[in-house]
Amino acid sequence: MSSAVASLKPRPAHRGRARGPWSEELIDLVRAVSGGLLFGVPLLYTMEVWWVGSYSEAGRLGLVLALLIVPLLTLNMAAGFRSKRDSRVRDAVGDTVEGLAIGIVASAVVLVLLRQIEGPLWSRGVLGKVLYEAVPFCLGIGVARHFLHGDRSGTDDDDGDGANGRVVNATVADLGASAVGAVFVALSIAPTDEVPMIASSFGPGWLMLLVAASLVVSYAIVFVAGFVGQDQRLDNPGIVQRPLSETIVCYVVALFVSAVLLWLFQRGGPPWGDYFTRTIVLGLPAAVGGAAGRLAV
Amino acid sequence: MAEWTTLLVSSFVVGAIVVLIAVQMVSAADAAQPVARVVGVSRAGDRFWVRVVVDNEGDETAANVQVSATLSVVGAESEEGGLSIDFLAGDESQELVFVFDTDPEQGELDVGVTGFEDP
Repeated sequence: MSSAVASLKPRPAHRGRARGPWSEELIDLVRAVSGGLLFGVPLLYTMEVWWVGSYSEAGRLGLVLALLIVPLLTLNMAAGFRSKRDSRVRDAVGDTVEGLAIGIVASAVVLVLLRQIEGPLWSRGVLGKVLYEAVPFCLGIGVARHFLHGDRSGTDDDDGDGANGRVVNATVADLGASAVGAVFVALSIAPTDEVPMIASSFGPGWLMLLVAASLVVSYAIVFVAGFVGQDQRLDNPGIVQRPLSETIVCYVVALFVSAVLLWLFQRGGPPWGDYFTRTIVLGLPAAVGGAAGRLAV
Repeated sequence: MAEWTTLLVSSFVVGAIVVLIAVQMVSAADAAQPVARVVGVSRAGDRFWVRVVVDNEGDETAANVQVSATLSVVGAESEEGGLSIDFLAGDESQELVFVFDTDPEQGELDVGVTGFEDP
């Protein structure tokens, strides 16, 4: 009891846990991917973008890439994905190149995961598909630092409740925020044809892979990319607020939200196997939204 | 050191993408050429599934690719099926399944692309 109360005491945002440069860099990169996912995941589930990308000519792709540099450079000078804002133009230019590369690679990985890339990356259609999908992804990378500043460090622990009450309240708040965040992102995807279309191409192996990816992304957004109050988060005493248990429980919440949304939009129901697969497919954007929602609490 | 490594790898990735786009801009693209081939036949209950892969052997994207399959059996009415693929990018493949009442091995199966749009 005493240790639980002690751990609820406010602490400085960073307790000075020493990290090496490689560790810091990895966290920055994870934050970039997380920011990209928050922005890019709805368009990754949009078949019109797949199609436009697949038949766009090379000149237009070059223009897309060139035009993308402008907002990304501007965003890197104002926000970016690193823990500290770029003060020098040279740093912002470097981060822009990195943002482009991360956006392109991460978009390609998610498209492969969703089974929307069936040919080599260097073929015309696939390259276009990846580049078009990388646009919102890169913009998300540019604002990652602003979005992923979640601090659930319990600064509201002056409400006079007992420690147990705060623990339960924090847990309820997290689960609620996870559900709201999941609805926020998944609501616009649930009624579309993309969910059954993607689900129809999934076997058990791919489903397992998507579940694993959803859990990793959810964990990364909350416990790696969100850099303010990270230490407090890792020490939170809530019932399901250990990193691993929170990630799993909130993923279950995201799946529940996905199932309900699919049912509301009449895309759920027998055969149950298909309904289950669709729920897992929608579970990825829902998990991303749920993680963002928890950072907002 | 860590940041420089990231920048180096990122520069390589972006550079490769720029080179790919440049190569595609200067090289002539082959017209779309979707080709269908049978990759397997299996039994599902009292019906037969014929798996067909459609490869686009050209560079351009083919839209609304129409694929037909006809099973002709001597002394019986022939069975026909038709499926379409919305978009098939260059070098991309997609698998389709045709369903027949008769075992395809007892007759002659003809599978092919009957048309497509240039998007």
